[in-house]
Amino acid sequence: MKSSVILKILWIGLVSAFITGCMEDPLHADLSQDGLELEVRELFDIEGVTYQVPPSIGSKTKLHLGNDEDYLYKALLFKTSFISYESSLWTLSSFLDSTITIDSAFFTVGISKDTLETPASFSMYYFPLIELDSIFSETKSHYLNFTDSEIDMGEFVSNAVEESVEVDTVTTIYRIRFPAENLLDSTFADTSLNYTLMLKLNNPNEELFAFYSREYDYSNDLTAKLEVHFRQFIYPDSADTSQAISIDTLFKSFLTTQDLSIMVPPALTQEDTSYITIGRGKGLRSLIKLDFLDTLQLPKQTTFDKVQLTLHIVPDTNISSFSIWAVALKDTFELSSFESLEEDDYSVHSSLFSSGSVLNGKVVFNIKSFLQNQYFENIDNLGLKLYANINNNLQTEVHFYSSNHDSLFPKLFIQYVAP
Amino acid sequence: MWLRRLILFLLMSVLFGQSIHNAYGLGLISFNHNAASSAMSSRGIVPSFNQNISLSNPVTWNNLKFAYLTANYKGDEFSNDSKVNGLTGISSAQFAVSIGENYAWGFGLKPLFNQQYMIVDNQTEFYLEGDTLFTQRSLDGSGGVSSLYTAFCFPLTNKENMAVELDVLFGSLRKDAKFSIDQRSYHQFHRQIYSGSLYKVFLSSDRFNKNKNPLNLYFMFGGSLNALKIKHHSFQPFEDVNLNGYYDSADIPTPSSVPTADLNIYNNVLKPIELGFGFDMLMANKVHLMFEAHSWKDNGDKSASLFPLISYYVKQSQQFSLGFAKFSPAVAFQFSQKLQYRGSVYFRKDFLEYDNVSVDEMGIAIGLGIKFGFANNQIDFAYKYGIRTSEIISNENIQHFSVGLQLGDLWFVKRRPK
Repeated sequence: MKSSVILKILWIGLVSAFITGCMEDPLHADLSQDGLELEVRELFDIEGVTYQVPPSIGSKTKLHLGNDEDYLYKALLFKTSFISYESSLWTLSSFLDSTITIDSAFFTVGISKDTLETPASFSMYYFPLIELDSIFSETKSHYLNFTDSEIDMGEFVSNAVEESVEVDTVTTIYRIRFPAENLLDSTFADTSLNYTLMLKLNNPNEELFAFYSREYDYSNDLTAKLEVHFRQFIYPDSADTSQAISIDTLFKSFLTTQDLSIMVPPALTQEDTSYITIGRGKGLRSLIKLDFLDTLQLPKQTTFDKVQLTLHIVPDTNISSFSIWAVALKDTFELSSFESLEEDDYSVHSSLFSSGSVLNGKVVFNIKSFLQNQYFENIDNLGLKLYANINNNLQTEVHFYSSNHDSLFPKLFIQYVAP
Repeated sequence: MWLRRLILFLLMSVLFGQSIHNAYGLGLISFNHNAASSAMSSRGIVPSFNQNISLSNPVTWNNLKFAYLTANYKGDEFSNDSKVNGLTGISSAQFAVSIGENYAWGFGLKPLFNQQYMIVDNQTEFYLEGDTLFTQRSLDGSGGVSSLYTAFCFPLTNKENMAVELDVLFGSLRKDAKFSIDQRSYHQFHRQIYSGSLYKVFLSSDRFNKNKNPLNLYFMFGGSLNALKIKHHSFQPFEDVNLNGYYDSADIPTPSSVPTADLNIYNNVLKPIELGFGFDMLMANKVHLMFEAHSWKDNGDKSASLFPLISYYVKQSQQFSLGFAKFSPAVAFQFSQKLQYRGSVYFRKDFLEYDNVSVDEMGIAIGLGIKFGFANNQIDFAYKYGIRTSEIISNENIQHFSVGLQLGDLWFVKRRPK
């Protein structure tokens, strides 16, 4: 009994002693020979080359028809859903049932504008002769693979002019409503598989018209849609079809699932091909080579603190805001001068990206993650791909000096810590 | 069960105080590990625990009347003009038992080097084109080298005894080198794993234990069997983005992207040679006069890449001490007879790695021991005050307090059946 009390006291004392043991103040000493060092390097031998691919504008929040400077928007393509927005039990082929009578049907597209002065006239087409499930792709179709021959295959559906609708005393919306009752026959609703509609301006020389894309507002209020008002009849005696009971007028809509403007960009200029150029509407992108990184002598266990790639803008470019992505390449490239390509074959490490904006005559990319992973040999040093952010103006191109300029050449600044 | 728990706890609890020497080289070496020796300013050679017994000198363990489980706790305070630092913790744990009158065996655990430190450097400016960066380094270390030892005592002649001690060295150091650039904080973690072994040989002679003032002589020498080896793991530096001190997925570069740690192995880091001598003379009124001289020198290779902070490492240490002790009799009934008194002075000279600069330390120590219980359990207290002076480091005042508890029991004795 006595010894157990002593042991308990001993335990409590030891635990208390262990817990209370602590240091108080740090000591001061010269640690310049221990720990990490900060170093900086500036590197210059950076080469860039521009290439062109068909512009990818499918994800834009606005669609266009008409002319904008030298950019021609020839057609708008929509793909409607086969299944109704209100009920998955209702499909486009449901309207082929003999018990249904269509009262009215419209394809409605919202127009982005403030006033309506002289309403323009548009025509709508569909593609019953193309028996494919999809005749265009929002991400892959462009003016080179959806040409006039594809456009000419459209079968006319109806014409429509712009109209304004006062939602309330404050809000007015603008839209085009194409009559579409004759679409809901067997050629579109059943036989045809592509459910694609095409809009064209009746006067191709008209100004530029902007429409709301499905990406503009995911509440679907402004999304282009096919709207159907109809009645359904029920026959109490199935053997006697002369005595039908009409159900109240019903409504179903079919939202568009893909939409795209077919745009033809203007011809390239001398500046577009001779500088490092980025432009969305013209599909101009650039590849940057940083070959010197492979032979760069850096200390073991280097950790990059700051890595900035700076490109200087050519002064004749009047840019207010422009945002560019710089992404690490997965593929090697052999381009030595400008080339036009049918599609962009240069895949990238999507996680190793950096965004830079034009400011004070230059754009600066923070490519720390790219250099760190290249230093760790997690990726190969295959260079960077520069391309425009999707929110940039389509008509804007930015030109940057390449390595042959005497002072405004591209620069890579690295600041790192190492043991 | 309680014995196993206690030993486990003692194994886990080894901490020391912070002096500037803690951060340099292998850290601050510790020479005495129990309260009784501290009170005698002894490095454990001369008897301090009881008459003819030193808990740190296995050649005296054959004089133990009981098996002893001992634990010692110490608190150190190092102060100079600007700083006061202190730290407390368990300083040793040991079990020793005599086997008959001539043999003894024991084992224990004691810290050898302490590397518990926090150091900061001054802020410096780093100039870039049109920009000034403020940088600062700091260093945290936690760990040290400990020794798990066993010793065996046996007679050489009827006047001389000998003991051999084998120390298995182990331990680790976790070091965090911090580097701040303006508001950004970088860390580099290091880990060092220690392994090695030492030996010590102790001799005693009571050949002169026959005059009016009986004299016992003690010698010891030691060296390395396998010089200390260090496996040094150096991890990738990272920016501590969330400033939590840990390397997690929020930090840059991400932990999953970095390569494995660099591993370097350093051999022959610690190769000590030590030599000691002491005597214990019984004076009048059962007062013992003790003298001890001890020298320790490290001939190990200290690579500059492993030990950037090496200049203040104590590579050689010598000490002389003179002490008086009055021990209680083997059988004591009155409380006053159960008290043991100790007092001493010492002079210590440490030589640093830096250009053979020396640091002098001198001080006094006093102590009290109290016996209790049938098995001559004992609790000891010691207080030491010293002044450390040198030309190159700030003068330090050292205060040391330790307490030791010795619990005795009868082992290897045939008990009478009930």
